[in-house]
Amino acid sequence: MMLLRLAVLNLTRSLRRTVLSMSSVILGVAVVIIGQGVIAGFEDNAIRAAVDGMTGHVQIRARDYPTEGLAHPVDTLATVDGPLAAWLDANTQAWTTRTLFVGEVVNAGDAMPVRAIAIDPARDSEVFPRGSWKIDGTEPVSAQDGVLLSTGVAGLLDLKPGATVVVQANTTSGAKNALEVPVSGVFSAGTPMLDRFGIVLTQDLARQILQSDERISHVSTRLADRGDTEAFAARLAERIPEDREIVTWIEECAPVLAFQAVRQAALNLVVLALMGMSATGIANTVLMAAYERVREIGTLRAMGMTRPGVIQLFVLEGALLGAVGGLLGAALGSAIVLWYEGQGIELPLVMATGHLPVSNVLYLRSSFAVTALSAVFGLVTAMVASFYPAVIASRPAPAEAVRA
Amino acid sequence: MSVLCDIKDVKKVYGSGPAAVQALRGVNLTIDEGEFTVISGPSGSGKSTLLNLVGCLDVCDEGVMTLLGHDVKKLSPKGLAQLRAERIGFIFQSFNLIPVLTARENVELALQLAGDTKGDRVKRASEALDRVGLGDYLHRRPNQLSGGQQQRVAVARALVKEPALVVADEPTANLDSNTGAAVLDLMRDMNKQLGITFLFSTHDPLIMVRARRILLLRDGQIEDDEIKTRSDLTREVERKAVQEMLHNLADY
Ligand SMILES: Nc1ncnc2c1ncn2[C@@H]1O[C@H](COP(=O)(O)OP(=O)(O)O)[C@@H](O)[C@H]1O
Ligand SMILES: [Mg+2]
Repeated sequence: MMLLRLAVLNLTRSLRRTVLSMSSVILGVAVVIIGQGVIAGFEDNAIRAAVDGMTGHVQIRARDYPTEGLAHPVDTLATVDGPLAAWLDANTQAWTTRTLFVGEVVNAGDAMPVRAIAIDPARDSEVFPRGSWKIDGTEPVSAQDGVLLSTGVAGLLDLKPGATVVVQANTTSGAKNALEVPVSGVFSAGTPMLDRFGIVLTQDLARQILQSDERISHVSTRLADRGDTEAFAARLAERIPEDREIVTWIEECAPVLAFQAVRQAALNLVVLALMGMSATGIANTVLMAAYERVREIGTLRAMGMTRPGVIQLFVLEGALLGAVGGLLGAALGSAIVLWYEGQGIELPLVMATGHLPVSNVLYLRSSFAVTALSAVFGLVTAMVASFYPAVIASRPAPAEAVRA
Repeated sequence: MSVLCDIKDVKKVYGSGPAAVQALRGVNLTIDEGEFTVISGPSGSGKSTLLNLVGCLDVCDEGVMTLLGHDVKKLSPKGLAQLRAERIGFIFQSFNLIPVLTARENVELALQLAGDTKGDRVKRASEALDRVGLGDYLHRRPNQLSGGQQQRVAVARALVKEPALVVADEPTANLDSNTGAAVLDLMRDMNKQLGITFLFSTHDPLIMVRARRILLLRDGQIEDDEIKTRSDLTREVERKAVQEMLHNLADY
């Protein structure tokens, strides 16, 4: 107890030095926590963008469906047969059909290519929640309502809800078709994938443009538990026709999640550098203390403290530095993460390539385990850093130390 | 009376090669329990070296030293530390209190390091300070105490664990002569009351005369070993007192 008190008091002796080296621990620990929060946030973001924006949990689509660029062939549309529909009713939380096609929106002389998403207005929002959507106007519920334009399309063509546009596309048989329709509203979903080129219309309207009868391009499902994805996908695979394939959100997110490993490595490097810095700071603090207190150490040794006892005292001082720094760093780091977990950070649209599933609002994700581990990491760093200086402190022979 | 420390033909060399210094060149000495002995001698004669050996802060290069029944050379560093912690108290020239601790904590620390488990340490530390006249200064830090008071704390710190031996290297050198004399009287009272053996060094004749045995070191060897009778002591004290009075008068 006396030793602990002595260690605490010793740290107050050169308060400025103590505060300085403690701040480096605080900073290091906070950066680890914030960094991990960002990385976990990116992961959530990617999953959310993919699941809520494009695939749902498990999706059925044509075999060898193109994944690069703006390509949505309509020559492979198919219907959902009765038994499959019944099975999906029984085994999913919700499911819906979508038909994706590439078309063009024309306003006066201007035209731009779009990714058209035909939805089942009664069911779509159960699979693709609209929570993050902002809609100016209304979402179409019938063919007469026309199209809902993404902010990207509306912006480029200078369109507002209530305007009239021409939507043109190739029919399933390859002929060109065009319809003049109203703009029901303008939306942003927070995912560049939708917000740059997307338009939303009802399956009814799409049928008129594509001449596609009851056929659709995608079936998307939402499961009660995301963790069941792979098991569900395996069972579903036995029930789909030869020409169809199954994609899960896990596969869809793979390219983005692969990026995560790179981010993690970068963070680890930063953390290593920061911890190296705090370790140097702490080692320096403890070493200076050791040199300043040679006579005092000699006195303690004369009074019967052993060399290991001296080492213990100095490591204890380092450990206290690390413990307090670690706790403060954890408090600071998690406060920041928690704040942006609620608030979100608007990302610059550099990430928005249009086909990577990302959302432009990043919500950091806090983790108690990460916070606790980072604080412990700060403590351990401090203890390791103070060990060698402590050995040096214990080195002078007692007689010599007393004489100094 | 039993022997506390027995030193036979002890030599100590600092450094090596042409820079080597022969600090002790064959010292023979027996110290009995309860002695109040001073080592005197000119600066560099080896007083500190000898005290460090007796206090187990250092070990000799040649010769045999037996302390409290231990052949000191055979003790491990840990064994030496334990011996110091439990049986030997130290008083230093520059007091060497731990600056961040209060007077009472400084004394308590000695008990803690001695692994003392006998009863209330706080109470015993307070009592020890009371005994040296610092009962009202328990919570002062060293920098809030005068030199004499600091050295009294050091005396309390050395004595609180009831050691067999107290080693003091020039304990009065940093004090003015009155304060130094008072600290030395305190040491002698403790020697009488508690029977603790004191071995200290000085080159101040006024301090020297308060000892019962005076060892004179010169060039690393004991040149004179004078055990005084009571009448010797009184005569000496009187002579020195007169000398000092004349000396002081001369200063006016
Ligand atoms: N650590 C040391 N290294 C080298 N020489 C030393 C050391 N300690 C003492 N000496 C030398 O040993 C001799 C005796 O020193 P010391 O015991 O300190 O004498 P005193 O205490 O009587 O002044 C002196 O010549 C001193 O310079
Ligand atoms: Mg000396």
